[in-house]
Amino acid sequence: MSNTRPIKSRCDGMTLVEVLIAASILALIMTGALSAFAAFASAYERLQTINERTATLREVSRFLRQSLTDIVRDEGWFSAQERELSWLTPLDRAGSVSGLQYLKLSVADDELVLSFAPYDPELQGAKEPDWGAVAPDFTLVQDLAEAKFAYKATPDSQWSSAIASEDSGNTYPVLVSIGVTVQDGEWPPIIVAFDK
Amino acid sequence: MRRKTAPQRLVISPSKAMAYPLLGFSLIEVLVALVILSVSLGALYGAATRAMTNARVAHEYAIAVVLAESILDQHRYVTTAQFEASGVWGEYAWAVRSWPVTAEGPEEVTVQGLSVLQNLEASVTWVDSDQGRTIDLMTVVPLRANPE
Repeated sequence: MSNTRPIKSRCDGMTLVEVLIAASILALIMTGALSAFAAFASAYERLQTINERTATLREVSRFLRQSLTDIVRDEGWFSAQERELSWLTPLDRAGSVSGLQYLKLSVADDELVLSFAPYDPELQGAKEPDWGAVAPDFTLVQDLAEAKFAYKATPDSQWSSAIASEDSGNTYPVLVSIGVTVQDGEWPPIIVAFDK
Repeated sequence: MRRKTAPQRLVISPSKAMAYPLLGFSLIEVLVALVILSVSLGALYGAATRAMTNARVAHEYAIAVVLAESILDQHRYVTTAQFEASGVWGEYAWAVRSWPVTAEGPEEVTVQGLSVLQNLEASVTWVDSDQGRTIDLMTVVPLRANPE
């Protein structure tokens, strides 16, 4: 009888030390695994962020370049200021708008906003187009730190912040530069040439 | 083996004495499982790192393309043949140059002895960690008379 006790107690369970060792090993493993998964999660988040930035840069630059290159000059609506640029351009399709549209690029708080207005043959640069009549404003760039528009009247002149002209309807610069700085960094200037 | 020499222990608690030593994992098994886990986690981590690198490089290429397009447009009023210019924007170095178009054979397209069309090429180069990268954009522009 006396020699069954030690065997029985050995087989019945684990000692406290064994449990503690097992628990600490498990804790180590879990710590490692959890930190690895946390690293994956943050890497994935950064990946999403950088991909979004890339997509925004590509799309905004492509859209602005295309719509400024296609500018319609004859009907004469063009307004160029340091923080606002508006022009008339045919849009293939942008959301719910298509066809000939006045576009206005402006800075609102920390966003670069694009406004739409349908083409009006009566307008002739006399008054402001009806911004937002058909389609709501669209935010091109969020988290904007700074946006600066600059213009060159001739290829050899200096960049200036506005086209000095009373009737802005008829004066087109040769080059338009849109400099965008977002909170993550500066974009290269988007420079578009207006062919004469 | 020890249990065969003491059969009465099996009678006292047969299920416990037989079952408990067989349940659970040996140290080797646990270690092997850990090694497999760490190897697969390491592979995943490598994949995540490569994905980050690729995303960063794609962003740099996007910036370089926007810059090259802007440089190309900025210098599209070419008034001198064999025009050249270069500059730096941030970590990106750009260069633009022009040379006469030789279309349909080796002869230049000329009007009154002047080449009327110029090839215009913008190239942007930058260094990404340890690797030099470059993109080239090319177009053809008319050679314009000097404003003077």
